[in-house]
Parts: sequence; structure tokens; C-alpha cells
Amino acid sequence: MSVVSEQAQTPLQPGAPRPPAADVDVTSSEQVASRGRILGARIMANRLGIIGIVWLVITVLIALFADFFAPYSVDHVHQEALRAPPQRVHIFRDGKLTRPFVYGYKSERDARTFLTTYTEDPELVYPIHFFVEAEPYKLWGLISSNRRLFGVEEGGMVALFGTGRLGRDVFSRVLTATRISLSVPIIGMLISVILGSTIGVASGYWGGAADILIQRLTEVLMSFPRIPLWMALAATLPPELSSLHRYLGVTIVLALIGWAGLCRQIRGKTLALKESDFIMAGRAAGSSTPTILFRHLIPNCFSHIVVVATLSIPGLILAESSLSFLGIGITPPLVSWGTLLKDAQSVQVLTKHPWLLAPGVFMVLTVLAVNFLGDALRDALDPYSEIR
Amino acid sequence: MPDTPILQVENLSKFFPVQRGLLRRTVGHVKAVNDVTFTVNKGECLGLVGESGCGKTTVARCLLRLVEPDQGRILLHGEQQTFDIASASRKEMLDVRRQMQIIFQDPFSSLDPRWRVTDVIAEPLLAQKVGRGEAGRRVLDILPTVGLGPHFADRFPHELSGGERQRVSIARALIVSPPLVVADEPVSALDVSVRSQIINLLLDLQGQMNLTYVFIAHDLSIVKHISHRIAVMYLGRLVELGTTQQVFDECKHPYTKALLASVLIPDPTHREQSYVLEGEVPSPLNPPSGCHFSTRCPFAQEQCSVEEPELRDMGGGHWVRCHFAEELDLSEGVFAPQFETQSASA
Amino acid sequence: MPDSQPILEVHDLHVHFKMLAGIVRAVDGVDFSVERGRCLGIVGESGCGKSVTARSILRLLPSSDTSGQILYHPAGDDEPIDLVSLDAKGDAIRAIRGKDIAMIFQEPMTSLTPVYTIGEQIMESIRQHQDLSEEEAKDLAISMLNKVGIPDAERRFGDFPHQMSGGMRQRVMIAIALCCEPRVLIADEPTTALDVTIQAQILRLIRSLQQNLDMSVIMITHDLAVIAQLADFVVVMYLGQMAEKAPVVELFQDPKHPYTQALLRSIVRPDTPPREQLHSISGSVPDPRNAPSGCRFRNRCPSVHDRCVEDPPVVEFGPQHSATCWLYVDD
Ligand SMILES: Nc1ncnc2c1ncn2[C@@H]1O[C@H](COP(=O)(O)OP(=O)(O)O)[C@@H](O)[C@H]1O
Ligand SMILES: Nc1ncnc2c1ncn2[C@@H]1O[C@H](COP(=O)(O)OP(=O)(O)O)[C@@H](O)[C@H]1O
Ligand code: SF4
Ligand code: SF4
Ligand SMILES: [Mg+2]
Ligand SMILES: [Mg+2]
Repeated sequence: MSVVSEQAQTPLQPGAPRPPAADVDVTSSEQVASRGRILGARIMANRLGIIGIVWLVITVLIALFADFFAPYSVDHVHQEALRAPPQRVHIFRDGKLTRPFVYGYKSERDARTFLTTYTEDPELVYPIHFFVEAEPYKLWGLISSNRRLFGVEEGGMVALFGTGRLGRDVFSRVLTATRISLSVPIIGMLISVILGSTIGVASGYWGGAADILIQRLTEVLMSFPRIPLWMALAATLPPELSSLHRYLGVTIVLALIGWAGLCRQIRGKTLALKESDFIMAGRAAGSSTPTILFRHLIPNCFSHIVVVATLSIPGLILAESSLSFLGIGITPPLVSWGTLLKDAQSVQVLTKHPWLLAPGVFMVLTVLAVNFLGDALRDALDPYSEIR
Repeated sequence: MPDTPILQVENLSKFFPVQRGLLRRTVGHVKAVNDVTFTVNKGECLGLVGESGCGKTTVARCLLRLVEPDQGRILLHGEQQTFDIASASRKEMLDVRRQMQIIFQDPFSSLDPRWRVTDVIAEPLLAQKVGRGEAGRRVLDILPTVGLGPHFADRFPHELSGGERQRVSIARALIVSPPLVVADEPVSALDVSVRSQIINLLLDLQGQMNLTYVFIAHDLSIVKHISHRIAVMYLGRLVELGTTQQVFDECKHPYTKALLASVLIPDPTHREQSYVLEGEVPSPLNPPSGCHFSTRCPFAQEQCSVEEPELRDMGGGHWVRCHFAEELDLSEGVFAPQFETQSASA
Repeated sequence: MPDSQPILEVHDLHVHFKMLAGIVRAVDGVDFSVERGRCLGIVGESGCGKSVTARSILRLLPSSDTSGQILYHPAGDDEPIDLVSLDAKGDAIRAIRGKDIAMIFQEPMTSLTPVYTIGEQIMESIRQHQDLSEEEAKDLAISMLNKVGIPDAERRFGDFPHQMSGGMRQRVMIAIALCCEPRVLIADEPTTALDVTIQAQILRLIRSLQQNLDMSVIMITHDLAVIAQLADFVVVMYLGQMAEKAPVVELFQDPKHPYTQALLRSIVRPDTPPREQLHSISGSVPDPRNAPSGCRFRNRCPSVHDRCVEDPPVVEFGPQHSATCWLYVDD
């Protein structure tokens, strides 16, 4: 309401001389919100979109500073606690508020099944300290440090998500795995966007035999079931590759198949835009082909590319995880959510040690978050939704 | 005014291939423009009319080489040089674009939504390798000419109304001072109250800048208002060409007459019950044999569906494509005016 | 001439939309009535609220604030029904929609389902309101197609919408609208997307159907020529408000509202002197979110004066002729 009344005042004095007929349009919309602000407002109005953005910001921060947030390195082993359940963080002790602490484990071995069960040991109190000195790491391979966000004193242990088969801290491993599990899809998406939009624009704009060929190629690529195709390609990566090269290899494999869908979408958009009046007008003005492509066509495809690219990320996250889960993706010492899930392969493990599913929970949340963001972007960029 | 031609279109044809199947084999051709010949004289306005799908837009696009003509010559008599647009080189086309520009129908789709008004208008200048500073100055010069204030320069198209956008389109066309402007239905997409503004502007500019127009429209009353001569198209063919008076008052082609008869008169006391043209434009993929209009023509004879009539000169620059152009009396028979007497509420 | 009996009365209709960037008062106080067997024309430029008015009669606007009264007088001597009070998704309005009041739109392609043949779509709408067997419904559908002038109806019955031209699709829409013999037909710019020749055919069709079926028609258009040819009574709208309403001849011969006057002056007529400047209205229709307060036409009105910043009164010029303007009120 207030928006309207602020805007409703047209700059017109009653009885003032009329503007000449040629100098028209008192109404022109100085007051109408700018495109960017409308876009922002639309995304903000989408609650799921905001939830998605918040979660993604958190995971990206985690990925960037995993070494700092994680109390242990991925390979740190707690021999005394194998497949121990998550510890609870307490702040009351003997009815009094204290600094947060966790209890150590008391283990008991079932004489019949030989299974060890862990319970809290009220005798072992490990207070949690912040910005502690702990295992040293090199942030981004550049900055050496041994500060970690939190930890307990030497001799104690903290495992917020429990520990795995070999006694490694699941919390630290999930945080560290975020790096690979986000960067593979994002880099893969960037490569496929570059491939897909270049080929798509070229194919749509020039048409001809090359276009027919490319279209058939993308159809073939897209008609294969994705996962087996990825598996087949990933399986061709030589097993002796170093972990880092494998990482690059997997990323490229994902991109090589991912570009097809994007290419078809961009080609369709290019075909439509090519016949549009403003491209015709550009050609009638005498603009060169590079001007038409880079200043008219691609900028107008851009929002479309952003949406399609965003919505392609969930598939890539799942693909990387599946490959890694099957052992043909990321290999140790690198960890991704998929490799972590290998620990949770059997139903028995799942029922007894459900905390090993933590990487899966992160994966599902991230996939949902990206989808929310993608949908919000699409709605916000859709010229036909709500506001002109 | 001595009739000096500025544009001569000779036997222009454009056939769009229709492709089907996996390998896109050509299964036929849409004869969008078929052997069209006309001349535009300096300083005049030539109107081009016909139902939609008759090839008007394709003619306009061929004139500017936005689609490649298949046949024919398009001679543009420039200030120093005559170009054949149909076969001009890339470099010559750049010169042609300084002599001839186009205004599009839809003010919403003909401006790049991501460009500011000043960039839109400057585009033809930049293509002619005029510097950015000089281009910006010339944009500011032309804005008042089309009735826009200087503050419009920094706006985006979505901030403008339809009428303002069409003024921007006109400015873009005129920025290189072309003697010839093709306007493809420049007012059809505008609001009623804005149409007359734009028509007035086009008329004004023609006087001021000594422009020549090719004016395409389906609204016959507007074409009649603005044109000196009129060309009527049907299914890619030119069926009648003459001065406005010849085409409107002494029309000799049954199609032209039928078009005129379907114009609604904005007067409730003249509710016409006159002839309404039956049927629809046939598919241009398979035009009727003989005279293309024979399937809808109230005067069609046996000969019409067998033999295609030629475009013939009736004298005085009046060309008609009908076997019976001389004999037919189009004010009689089905076309005789019959007014229903006023029956609206008392 | 039968004495005028209203079949539909709209009183003080307001339709507002809440949007991110403010409230759009799409329709703001519209009053008219449609008489039995007559044609009411609603004319105005794009965005003035014509379609919203039409849709609110059938309650086809889900997310809006609608207030006012829309009284529909059913056949027989039943009490009038206030359509505004009906549940937009309820059975009561659905029984009226299509059966008593039918509507056709500017772009028939969007109101036809692409995956069904036109025959199936006509039959479906017949069987929604009438208890007919498959065979009877098919016969009726074909006779409807014939009636709206579709040549070779039996064969076209199996066509999909995309196989037809715009004019043919509009005829199919009319056939669907007419198959339950509605008492009111709302036609929202039915010929705007069509060629002049096809427009003439469709308008002639609507007129003959109206006369033969004794149907009331609400003809919505931006084209005064269409109004002149078809309407008995006219409502002129500007930015959601009613500028003027009058019997058609009175409106064309003695327009009172400056907007109507300017519109009528600006159209090109057969006797307009060629190549002379046309009368024109300065400016363009403002964005409805930025509409001026008081008289919404005041930033374009040639007769604007001090009082126009306040809401103008409705001035009567006869039993059926009124204009919303300050000009005719003495201080
Ligand atoms: N790029 C194209 N490819 C194929 N057919 C086309 C193309 N452009 C126009 N046509 C066809 O050519 C005919 C003439 O179209 P057009 O010139 O747009 O007519 P008008 O402007 O008179 O409505 C139509 O049948 C149309 O479908
Ligand atoms: N569903 C809707 N939500 C929001 N605004 C709407 C909606 N439908 C129409 N409007 C707005 O209401 C105004 C009137 O629209 P409409 O009745 O469609 O105009 P027209 O007279 O051209 O048919 C316009 O400004 C339009 O933007
Ligand atoms: S040639 Fe025959 S069919 Fe064609 S316009 Fe003339 S009379 Fe009609
Ligand atoms: S109220 Fe005033 S501004 Fe509005 S139409 Fe009348 S004279 Fe013009
Ligand atoms: Mg066209
Ligand atoms: Mg509408």
C-alpha cells in the first residue's frame, strides 16, 4: 500500500500548461523498481530459495575452511573407539552450568556376539576448548596452521557424529569430504557450461550439417542411462592414477556427459532468439556477427544458462557420490561423501550404526538446497511470473 | 514531383524450404515471395498490404538482406552509387545500411532488453565505425526529433511504454540519416491512443528529413492515410499496384476489393452488411493452381484455376493480376453496398 | 422490441491484486448491466481492466480481492444470484460457467488443450452440462461445427488444435461456448489476433448467432470500429475506471468524457484527409501501479483543471448515458 501511495504522485500541476504532444509520457516509470531489485526481491520472497541459499553458503564455508572446522584430520584414528556412537555435548555438570564438555566412552564387549557397545563414562570428562592448537594442516596447501575451531585436551576425544570402522571421526571426515563433493560438481558444471553453451550457440546460430550432427550426438548421449555411462567412462580411468589425477578425471567424465542437455537447451534458446526482432534489428543496423553473438545473443541466454547450470548440479553431486561409492570415483587419501558412505554399505551396519549415514544426510540436504535455489532463480527470472 | 526511383525490386523471390525428418530432407517450399516487382520513388510512401502470411515481412527482410533472396534484383540508387542488394558484398552492405533502415512491428521484442536506450539507438552508428563519444552525442541530438527527452538515454527498454519504445526504434532507424526507411507494421502492436501519435511522427519526419517509406500494414485505413501508392500482396504474389486513389477508389482486383470491404467502419449508424470474403488464405506450401485467389474469388471462372494471370498494366501505373481486370465491375454484384438501417437501442 | 430486462448487473465492482511492487487496482468501481438479447461493448486500451472485469464475472480470478455485486438473473423468475458471493471453486459457479454464461478469449490456442482433438473437447464440454449419449453428443458437436462455419466439419472433428488456423480455432472456441446454448456470451477480444477478413467473418458469425439464439453478448475490444458494428450499449474504461457509458449511437455522436472524445477523434476514418496530422492523445497509459490519484486520465486530459486531483463524480446525461468527469459540474 505504502509503495503505491509514494509512487502515485505524478509530477503534474493542475492547470499547468500541457506538454506538447510530442514530448510525451509523463508516466514513464522512473519509479518502477529496477530489474535487479525486482530480481532480488523475488528471490527473497521465495522462502525455500532462501533456505537453499543459507545452506549452500554454510557448506561452501565448510568446504573452504574444513581443516579449521574439523577437530581432526581425515586419517586420525581413535583406536579405543571403533564405530562409537556420537557423543552428546553437555553444558551442565552436577546441576551447574559449565563450559561445554563431552564424556569419554565406556566400552563393553558382548561375550556371545563379540560386538562392542559404547556408553558414556561419567568419570571421563573432556571439556571442549575453542581455537585450540591441534594437528597441524596446510590451508589450501598454502597456509600452515595448527589452530582448529574446537577440540579437547590431549588424551581425550570428541566425536560429534561418532566414529567409523577404523575409529576415524565421522564429523571431521564429512566436513573435509564437502570439499570434493562440492568442487567436483561445480567444476564439472563449469566445464559442461562452457562446452554446452559454446556448442549450443554455434549449432543454433549457424545451423547446417554440423548442427544436425551435433543434435544427433547429443540425442545419443542423452538416450543412454546416465549412471552406467558414467561408470563405463570412469572405469576407463587407469587404476594406477594418482588420487589427484583421478579427481580431475572424474570431473571431466561428468562434464563430458553433462554438456549434452545444456547444449540442447541453449541451442533451442538460440534458435528462438536468432529469429527475434532485436537480433534482426542488430543485423539490419549492420552489426558484425561477433557483436550479435557476444552482445545480443549470449547475454540474453545468460539467465537461462544460469538456471539450467544450477539445476544440473544435483545430478552431478549424486553422480560423483555414486561413482565414489562404487569405488570407481574418488579414491583415498581424498574423501568425498560417496567414499564415506562406503562404510555404511550393509543394512546391518545401518541399523546398528546409523550415524555412518551422516554424509548421506549432507548430500541430500545439499541436493535439495541447490534445487530450491535453482527453482527460485527460474521463477525470479521468468518474465511471466507476476511482475512484467 | 518527378518520379525518380530510389529502389527498384525486380522479380524478387524467396522460397523457404520445408524440412522434415531426422536428416531434415526438404519436402517442399513455402513460396513466401514469388516474382515480385515494384519501384519506390524518392520522397513517396509505398504501402504494402495483404492478409498475414502473404509475404509482406519477407519482402521487407529481403530488402535489407535479413533473409537471403533466392532470385531477383534489388537496386538501391544511393547518393553516389547504385547497389544490387541481392548480390552485394559484406562491405557494400554496410554502405547499404547507411541508406536504408527498418522499423519493426513489435516494440517489445525489437529492442534488446539488456541494452540501454542510448546503446540501442547508437548501434547502427557503431556498426559504421563511428566513435563512441560521437555516437553518444548524435543519440542526444536525435532524441528530441522523435519526441523523447534526454533523460531517456539511460533507460532500459522495460522501463518504457510501447509508444516510447517505438520512438526508440524510429530513432535507431534514423540515426544514420538513411533516405529510405522500411516500416513493418510499426503501429499494429500499439495502443489505439498511441497509434495516431506515431503516425503523426512518421509523417512529420518524412517532411523534415525528406524520407522515403515502404510502409507495411494490415490496417487499411492507416495505409490509406499515409501512402502515396499501394501494393497489394496475396500468397507471395503482387496482385495490384497503383496510386492510393487507384487502389482504393478504382480497384480492379477482386482481392483488393474484398480487403476493402472487410474494413469495419467506426460508425454505428452504418452497419454494413456488405460482402465478407469467405475462407482463409490457403497454405503457401500448396497454393491453388492458376490464379492463387481462385478458391476464394467470387468472380472465378474456369480459366482462373488453370491459367495464372500476369501482372498487367491498366494504364497510369496501375498494375493488376487478374484475367478479367478490364471487364469486372467491382462496385456491382456481391460488392454492392448494402446498409442495414440503424437498429441500435432507441 | 422487448422491454429491457437485465440479465446481468454489475454494481460497483472492484478487483485488486496484491503484488510485490504494490497493489494493482485493476478494476475500480465499474457499474453496468447487460440486457437480454443485447450486446454490451466494453472498450478501452490494454491494461484498463477489460479482461479482469470479464473474468471476475465467471470468478476465474483466483488470487484477487473482489468486491461489489454481480447479479445474474437466471431463467424463469428465480431470484438473482450474486456471483461475487459464490465460492470460486464451488459447484454453484461451475453450473453457471459454460452453461448459462460462456466465454471466448483472444488467443484460442491457450484455451484449447493441445493433446485432444477439437471434437473430443467439444463433446466433453457438451457432456459436462447435458445428459447425452456419446452418439448424441457427437452429432451435436458436428452440428455445432457446421453452425460456426467450419467447412467439412465431420473431417475437422478429428483435428488437433495446432492443425487449424487462428480463425478456425476461434470458431471452435465459439462452438464450445455455444454448445450448451448459454444465455450470455462473453467475448474477450475475439478478433484482435486475426486478420481483417477473418475478423469480419467472426464478427458476422457472432452477430448472427446472437440474433438467432436470442443471446446476450459482452463484446470486449480495444477497437471502436468493432464496437460501432456490434454493440447496442457501450462502457468505456480507462485504467480500471469507467469513463463513460452510453447507448452506442449516443456515444459516437455525442461523447461526453474527454477520453472518449479524444479516442473518437484519433481514429482514422474513410473521410480523414490523407497525410494530415491526426488528432492524438498525448502520453500513454501509465503503469496501473503509478496511476494518478483523482481522475486517472488527468495527466493526459486536454481539459484537466484543479478539481481533477479529486475523484470525479458520475454525471448523468440521460437515463442511460453517464460520464465520470468534473467538466459537467458547476462549482
Ligand atoms: N524463416 C522462415 N522459415 C520458413 N517459413 C517462413 C519464414 N518466414 C516466413 N515464412 C513463411 O512465409 C510466409 C510469409 O510470411 P511473412 O512474410 O511473415 O508474411 P506477412 O508478413 O505478410 O504476414 C508465411 O507462410 C510464413 O509461414
Ligand atoms: N492475475 C493478475 N495478477 C495481477 N495483476 C493482474 C492480473 N491480471 C491482470 N492484472 C493487471 O490488471 C490490469 C488490468 O488487466 P486486464 O484486465 O488484463 O487488461 P485489459 O483491459 O488489457 O484486458 C493490468 O494492469 C494487469 O497487469
Ligand atoms: S483471375 Fe479469376 S480468380 Fe483470379 S482474381 Fe481474377 S477473376 Fe478472380
Ligand atoms: S475529471 Fe478532469 S482530468 Fe478527468 S477527464 Fe474530466 S476534465 Fe479530464
Ligand atoms: Mg508480417
Ligand atoms: Mg485483455
